Amino acid sequence: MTNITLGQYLPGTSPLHRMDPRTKLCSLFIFIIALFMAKGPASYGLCVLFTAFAAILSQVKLKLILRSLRAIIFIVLFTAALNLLYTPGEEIFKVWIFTVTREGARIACAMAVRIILLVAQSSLLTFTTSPMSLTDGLETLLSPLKKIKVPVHEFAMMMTIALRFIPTLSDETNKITSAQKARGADLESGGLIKRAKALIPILVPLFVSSFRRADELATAMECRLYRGGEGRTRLHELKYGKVDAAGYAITVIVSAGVIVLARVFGL
Amino acid sequence: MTDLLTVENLTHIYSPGTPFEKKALSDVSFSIGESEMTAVIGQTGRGKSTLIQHLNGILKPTSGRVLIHGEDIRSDKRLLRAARFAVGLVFQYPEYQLFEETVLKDISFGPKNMGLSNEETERRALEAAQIVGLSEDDLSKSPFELSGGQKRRVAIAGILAMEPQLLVLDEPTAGLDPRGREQIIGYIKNYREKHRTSVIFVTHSMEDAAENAQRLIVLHRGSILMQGTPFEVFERAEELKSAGLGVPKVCEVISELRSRGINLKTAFTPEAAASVIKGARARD
Ligand SMILES: Nc1ncnc2c1ncn2[C@@H]1O[C@H](COP(=O)(O)OP(=O)(O)OP(=O)(O)O)[C@@H](O)[C@H]1O
Ligand SMILES: [Mg+2]
Repeated sequence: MTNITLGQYLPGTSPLHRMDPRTKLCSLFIFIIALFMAKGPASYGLCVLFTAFAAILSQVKLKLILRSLRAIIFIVLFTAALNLLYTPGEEIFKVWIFTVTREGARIACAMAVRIILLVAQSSLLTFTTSPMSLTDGLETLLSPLKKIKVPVHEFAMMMTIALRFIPTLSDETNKITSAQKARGADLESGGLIKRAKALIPILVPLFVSSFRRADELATAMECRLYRGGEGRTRLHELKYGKVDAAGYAITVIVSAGVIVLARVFGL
Repeated sequence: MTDLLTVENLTHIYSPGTPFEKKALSDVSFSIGESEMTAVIGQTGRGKSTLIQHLNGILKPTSGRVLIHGEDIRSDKRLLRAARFAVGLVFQYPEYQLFEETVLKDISFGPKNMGLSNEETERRALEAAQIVGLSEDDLSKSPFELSGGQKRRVAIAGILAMEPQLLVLDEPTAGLDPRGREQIIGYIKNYREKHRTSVIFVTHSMEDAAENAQRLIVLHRGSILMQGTPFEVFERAEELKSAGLGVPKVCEVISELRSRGINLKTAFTPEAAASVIKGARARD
């Protein structure tokens, strides 16, 4: 329960860590399109290979990637089972009222692989990109929307602040909880109402300190003459480098390969 | 007779099994006797706060045990709850834990949780408030309108009112002015004399440790570097320095005088130093 590692970011220096967040976001987007156009074993195989390649490149421990997949195992099985049983087609065998068809088995496998790869790739993104640089990347990618008066910068700033304060607040909650436990606060026993009441000694100080922090942050921003996104420059400009060129090249080539295999050759 | 509190081979690892794994304590053992005053010193981030959160079972040891009167506090739920009341723990910057409408109600939170009668709760709360020098007026105020130093006193009173057998304070004087520090230490000493309570306090100030504690525990990189009387500890000034700690300023004066050829005994409080120097002058 300690340390909500939000976005599960793992600091590191692998090529994926060094890659620009925009590259990673765009590549993920391109890959997802390719993944949904994949058709046969060859095109899916290429997607699996590409994901494995990215996983190795990220230097994230396999155990951690598998752990993030564990959360969706139920959805995968459920989707696969539904597809397996309810797809009409050429019958393989039949148990009671359930009929398993060749088409069903094929679609079930495809679905399972799709979901697993989707989640694995997204976790690779969050494992190797800090929430801050992710919002930076999103802001830059969405900045054309500013032309139609969407306050992209303000949204990104709000997101950054929220993300920045989640670990702080979770630490603070832990501290306050411990302090009240030391005064004999009983948080574990009793009915619903008693438990809700037991939260007051934790929530009140937490609110007080959140307001204090918000106030301090607002003052600090004011002192630095923060006035929103207009004409603002950044300390860390997002810059494309060699890894990004390589990243885009590999993603585009692989995705094109997947699409060609699937749509032209039907593999 | 068993000691009031015994810590046996305590090891604590934060977030084990993740990339953020961090060993904060390793194989720490010591014991605390009745009505002793002990100071825990150590550089910042050396595990002091981690250690004291084990004393009343807030944290769970990775390995090792904490015993109160010879019984493992984790051996059953009842003992764990009893440990919360036997060991009163004042956290670092405790002023952020206040939440009630009035100061008096906030001080009463602990005793009330102990299941004491209303009269007894009120008696203890008033006594604790008086010990930490809060006035009648303050008691009916909201804790949020007090100054930082006053909030600190309210928080300390909240623990004193539980009348623990062992009072543990994590840097009770951090961020206070010299006078505020002296007052807080004074309140703790008064309370201790009145109730014969054992006290453990964490401090960064060698002077505070030297002048107030009978025993010192020096933590370095999660384990105990030395423990003993101030005399035993401050004699090993070189080791303390290499651990990033110092000795009280008076000790340095004495050793400076020694190095200039004046024969003096070790002393670590201003009073002791004065009499040592006076003794030396009378002798010559
Ligand atoms: N909740 C936590 N999760 C992970 N690591 C922690 C946590 N709390 C403390 N630590 C780590 O454990 C080590 C010891 O911390 P601790 O708070 O016990 O130090 P301390 O001696 O009290 O320091 P200070 O004098 O600054 O209060 C530190 O390196 C800290 O980074
Ligand atoms: Mg500390």
